[in-house]
Amino acid sequence: MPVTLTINGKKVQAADGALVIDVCREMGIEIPHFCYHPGLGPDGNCRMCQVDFVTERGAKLGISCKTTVTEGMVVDTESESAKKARASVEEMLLLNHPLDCPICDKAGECSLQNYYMEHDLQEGRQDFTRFRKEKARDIGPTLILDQERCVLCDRCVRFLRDVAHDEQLYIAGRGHEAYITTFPGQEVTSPYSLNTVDLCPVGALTAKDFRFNSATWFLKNTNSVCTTCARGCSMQVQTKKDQVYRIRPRHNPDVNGYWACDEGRVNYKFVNEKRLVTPFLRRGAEVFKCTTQEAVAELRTLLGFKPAGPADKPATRKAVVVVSATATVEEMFLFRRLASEGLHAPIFVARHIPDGVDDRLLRRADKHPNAKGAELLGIRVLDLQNGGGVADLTNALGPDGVLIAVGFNTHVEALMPVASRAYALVALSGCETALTERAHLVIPGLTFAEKDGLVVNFEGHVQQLRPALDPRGESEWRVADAVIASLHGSHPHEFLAQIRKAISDGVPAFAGIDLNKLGPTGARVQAQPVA
Amino acid sequence: MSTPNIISARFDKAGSHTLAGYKANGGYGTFEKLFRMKPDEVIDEVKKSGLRGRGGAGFPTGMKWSFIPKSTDKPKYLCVNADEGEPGTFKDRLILERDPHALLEGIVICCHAVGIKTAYIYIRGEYDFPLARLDAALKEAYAAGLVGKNIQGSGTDVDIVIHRGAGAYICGDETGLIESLEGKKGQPRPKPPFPAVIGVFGCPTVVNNVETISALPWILHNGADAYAAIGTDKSKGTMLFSISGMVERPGVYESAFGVNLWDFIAQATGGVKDGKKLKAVIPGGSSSAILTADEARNVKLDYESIAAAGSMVGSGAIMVLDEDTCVVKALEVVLRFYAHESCGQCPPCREGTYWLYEIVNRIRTGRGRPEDIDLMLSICPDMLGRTVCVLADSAAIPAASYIKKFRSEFEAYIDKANLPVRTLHPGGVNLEARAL
Repeated sequence: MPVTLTINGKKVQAADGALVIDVCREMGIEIPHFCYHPGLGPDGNCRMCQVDFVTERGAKLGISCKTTVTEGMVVDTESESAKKARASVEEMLLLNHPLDCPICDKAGECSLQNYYMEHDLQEGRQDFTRFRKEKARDIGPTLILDQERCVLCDRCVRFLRDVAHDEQLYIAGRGHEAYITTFPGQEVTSPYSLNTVDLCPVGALTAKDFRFNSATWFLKNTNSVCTTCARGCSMQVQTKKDQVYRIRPRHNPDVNGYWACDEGRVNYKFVNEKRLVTPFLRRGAEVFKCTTQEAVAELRTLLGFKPAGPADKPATRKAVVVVSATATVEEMFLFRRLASEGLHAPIFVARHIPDGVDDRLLRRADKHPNAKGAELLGIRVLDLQNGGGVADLTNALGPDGVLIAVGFNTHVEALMPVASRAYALVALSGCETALTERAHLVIPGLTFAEKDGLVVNFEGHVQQLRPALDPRGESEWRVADAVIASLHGSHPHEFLAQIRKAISDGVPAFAGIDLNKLGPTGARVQAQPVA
Repeated sequence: MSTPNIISARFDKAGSHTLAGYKANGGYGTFEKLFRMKPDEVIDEVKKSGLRGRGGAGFPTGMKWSFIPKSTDKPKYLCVNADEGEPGTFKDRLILERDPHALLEGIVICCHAVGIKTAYIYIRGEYDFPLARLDAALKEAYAAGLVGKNIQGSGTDVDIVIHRGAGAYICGDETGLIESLEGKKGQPRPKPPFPAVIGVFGCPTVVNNVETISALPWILHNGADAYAAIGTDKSKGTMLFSISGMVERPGVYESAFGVNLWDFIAQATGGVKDGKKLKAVIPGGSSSAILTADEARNVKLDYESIAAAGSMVGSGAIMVLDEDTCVVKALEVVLRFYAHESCGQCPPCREGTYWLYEIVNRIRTGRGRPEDIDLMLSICPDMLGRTVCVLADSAAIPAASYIKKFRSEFEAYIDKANLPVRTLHPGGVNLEARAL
């Protein structure tokens, strides 16, 4: 039963039991708050979200995060008394705050700063020696704690206790001497610890990974997807110039809620390091740089085609295409087309699942974002951690086949036994790996941070990777498309949208989803009958 | 003045803390009547008596009980608040030391009325001797079948558990007490939900003060009408007052409501010590507003009259300041106490109490500035009613009232001239007892 209430003179309908602060946000009124977080619920301790509740007996201040809407409720968020109450809380919080904003990593995205601009902007009346607490305390492999900056909103404590189920922080002491700390002799080791950095409304908890790296206002945000495991959390990739600086979760109720794991957040180093930018050929011990056209010609020669022009006879050498389960749906789709129409070769998607288990919150044992996508396209997924997967690949390759390995940017060890038996190894890879060190032909590919493409998580939720950086190599899909076109004597596709359209039309699982118009939270693919 | 002794009747009887001594004075005499009554009848009787909570808030006890949901699958609990932390209050201690069985009898009455099978007594950690007396009394009562399963064949089960606090003032707040009892850090919960709906272990809970519960046997024995006949229209019955400070005979005195405040104090304690002049009276514990000598002489001692005078009866801790007592120092002690005891949840309290203390401290130590007085007065309203519990109010109310009524003393400190002569009397105003 919806109820009707009045907020700042406007009548609105809201679900019974909804919180006033949520209803206000939906109306576009952002009420300042510290302790409340939509993913954690209210706690009621920070007193920042006070608004006026007007009744016949007059207006009365109350906290909007703990108050549920009732029929006929009248709320005034902008009354003088409410604004003064919030400004007063802000002033109280700043009393013992160290005001070290110039060296604080949170500056620019700090609630305390923002609300000061919004509410107060006055000279402080504070004029006693500030109460000192511990600064820059190392509290674990990922976090640094500054107790002085803390506003004691309890979010980090509640997250670790209630969401991660791994209670590793608490508030010790009381009154103005209260402080966040770890349990004696222990560190914060939760695999979700970095969420506390996002949750921290001030600079009390900072990430070792991002500390002193960049002022936050220089970072460019790109909505993308985490490719660290089969969950595919919605992420925001934050970049400056040509480097990734930080990855943060973004809210997606269908996939990850508000959270992400630490592993996914720091899994971007390879984007910045050991990148391949030029194609090259290897002749014995010598390496020759070449252009992409020359590389395509070399590939054709390896397979027994003439170097250019439409193919007039089938390949003379056997080939196997193996695509990493980190590749996008479009890449898999085009390489399957290349394998079946151009090379008449088998195609596999390969993944290597390390020992591990799916945990209760987000993390999956399968560290590939798109094995499900391969499944939906009908490509066989080989598990290389089993001897069987390697054997299947070796058998398909035969004694002198050409192995075309696509998109193995990291963790290539499992593929090496197969690669070492191939007559020739062709690698499309964004990074230097053991594979590219022995490949006969290397075409630089892209990493997730530069790619545009779709991935499908283990639950069948399709989301779009969006390029956060300018590409440094060749888009894998363009390479596949170029080879197909060269063999057919046709023109390659110009836009990825054309490929997506073909996938929507040709793959039953994606029927009815406009892959070119996926929203920021993606879409759920149709349930597939068990094959 | 015929002061009926209700709570303190047995305080000076020999052996009053033992079961034999208690029974010799009519103890446990209400059980026969109690177990014949239906629970609702007991609640009605308590409502009719007009008994109000003696812990400080003065909420009608019968009404509090009736908020407990009648139909619930959950167990219900009683928490007896024996945390007695308000500076200046030492009345529950006497009950625990000298009349513990009255408390136990009262607990059984409350449990029968509300349908409670387990009661907790949350006793202040520093109360070693009261705890020993209470513990001994509880053992005796269990042995005699006056507490426990199927009391006197009535079918009523009441188990009583004593839980010792660890020395935090905030655990005297009812939800702070509940959190502490559950084994968590003692800090009050936002309300609603109130303890009557979600209290200890998520179950409906009654939280009552020791004195409130101890009044129940008398009410049941003599009838609600007899109790309601004492006192005023809205403040019924009697109350224990802990009188401390600059008086001849500090101590705990019982009085009916409605008497003149200063007459009662003077009569009971023999007036201001050493024949000095009265400066002020703090009527309801350190968190209440101060009354000037004139106000104290012209106000009646009951909830409504004292509220009309701008203060409160609170926990009945009356503190008397004589002409030589320094109000600035008194306020410093009060604020140091609240800054120390704030649990630290809410910024207005966590930072506000500390800020106020810092300012009054610098005034007292001769570093005050002319604008400090108005600064304090402007901070106080931002602490009133802005927090989860009333600890912030407890600091802001005295601060504002001391300054408003004795502004000249603060100004004198700031002007560094005409400093009031004397410091706090050693062993005098009981404010310093637990501070820092």
